Amino acid sequence: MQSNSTAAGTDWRRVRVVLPALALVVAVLLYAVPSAPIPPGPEAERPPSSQLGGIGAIVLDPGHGGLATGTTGPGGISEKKLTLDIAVRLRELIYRRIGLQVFLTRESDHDVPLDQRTEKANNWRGDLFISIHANGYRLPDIRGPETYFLSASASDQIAREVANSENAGAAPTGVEASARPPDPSLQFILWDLAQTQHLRESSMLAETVQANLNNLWQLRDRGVRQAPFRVLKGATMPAILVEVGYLSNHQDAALLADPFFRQQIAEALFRSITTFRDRHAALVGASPEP
Amino acid sequence: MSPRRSNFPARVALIAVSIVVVFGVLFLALNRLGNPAGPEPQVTPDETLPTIDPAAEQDGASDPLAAAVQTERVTLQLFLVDMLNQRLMPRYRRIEAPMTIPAQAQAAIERLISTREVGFLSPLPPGTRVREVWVSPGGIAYVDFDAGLTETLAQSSLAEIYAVYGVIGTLTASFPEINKVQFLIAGQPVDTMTGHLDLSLPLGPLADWLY
Repeated sequence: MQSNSTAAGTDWRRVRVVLPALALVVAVLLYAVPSAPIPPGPEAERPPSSQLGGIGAIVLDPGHGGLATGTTGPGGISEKKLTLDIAVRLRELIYRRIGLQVFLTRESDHDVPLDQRTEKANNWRGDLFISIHANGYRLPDIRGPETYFLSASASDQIAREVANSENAGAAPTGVEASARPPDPSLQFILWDLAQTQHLRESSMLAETVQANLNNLWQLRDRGVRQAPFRVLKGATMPAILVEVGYLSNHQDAALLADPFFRQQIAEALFRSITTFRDRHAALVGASPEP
Repeated sequence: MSPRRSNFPARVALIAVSIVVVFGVLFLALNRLGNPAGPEPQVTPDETLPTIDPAAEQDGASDPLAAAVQTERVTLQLFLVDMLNQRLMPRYRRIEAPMTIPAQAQAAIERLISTREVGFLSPLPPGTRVREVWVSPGGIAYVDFDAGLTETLAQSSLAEIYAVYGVIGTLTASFPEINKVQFLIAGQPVDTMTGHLDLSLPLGPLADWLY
């Protein structure tokens, strides 16, 4: 009887030691798992609402990487690390909250050529492309976020290139109509129409992102602008480039060094994506069926 | 020997010298009558030939005889970074430059780099060197920068945008003959300067960046 009670006492002591250890392991796992990269969710796992408005997959492009460090701020904070951190945070938010498929053009600290980033986005059939950067300049007073989309003239240049390549591939006369490739001029017109639509949607997304980031900074709006960014050229989807503040400005650099503020940036970008998705769904819903 | 005989050689010499002086004065007087402007001044080689910059000559950046060709006063619109409003703004300058558009365009960019004005910054880093500028009949200016530009230009989108549109704004606003700019580095076309803008094709002015 005494030996039984002694054994029970030993078991209880073991339980008292093992239980807190287990709890500690569980707590560590719960803390660690959300910060680990989440692979793109398969199509079947997406909630039905994810396809609303035709936005099913989002491509995030953390700027620079590897030897291309980008801008560097005080204390050695580099643009390449900052952009990857924000992209990973945003990916978690998107996937966990609305279940959209999210792709990153780079998952670690290595450089990806600009053209390959867009190429990847096109191959993944992304519905949105968001390139994340941080800015810097010789004037230390400049601060705040900026959002860009492709300039129309740059888009026109692509259109001309497409037209030239299409025309170069046109079948010679005398070939059976069914055997000929589609009319190059028609293809060009369709492509041009799609690009015009993408530019319009890029502008809408850029305005939404800039407004949400402005709410975070509470500064004079530096505005949405257009420029011929190489990483945005050739994207067959609405595409924007976000500059999440200036590392050359001490206040911005201090904010960007704070993980809590980076999480807020990710939240602002997430809100912009959901707002864009809802507006896009409304536009698609309002358009007459063909 | 009488004293008169002893003075004879000196007198002959004096007479000879006097004759030479008289003829000399007459020659100069006649020469002056024939050329009222007077004789040509002495010209040093430095005044007849322009100074040659060995570095410039090495790169073929400028013709050493350019200074000898005719020049004219040119009004430039230099697009500098307005430090207060944080945007590119035109600042007017008049310079003396050779009478060819490529030479004037090169002078304009060099002035854009070197200009100092309170409240304004050059969009290009100090010390940036322009190797050559030429202009196609279609109005495209090919601007060839030294390779150092990609190292001295800050690795940010704003720095690249200011540099690119500062040059485009300056050339297209100052010269009606130029409507686009193709950027070259060390004689080669480039996809981008610091990893942001697409420079593979000629670019025209963009209203978002030029005021």
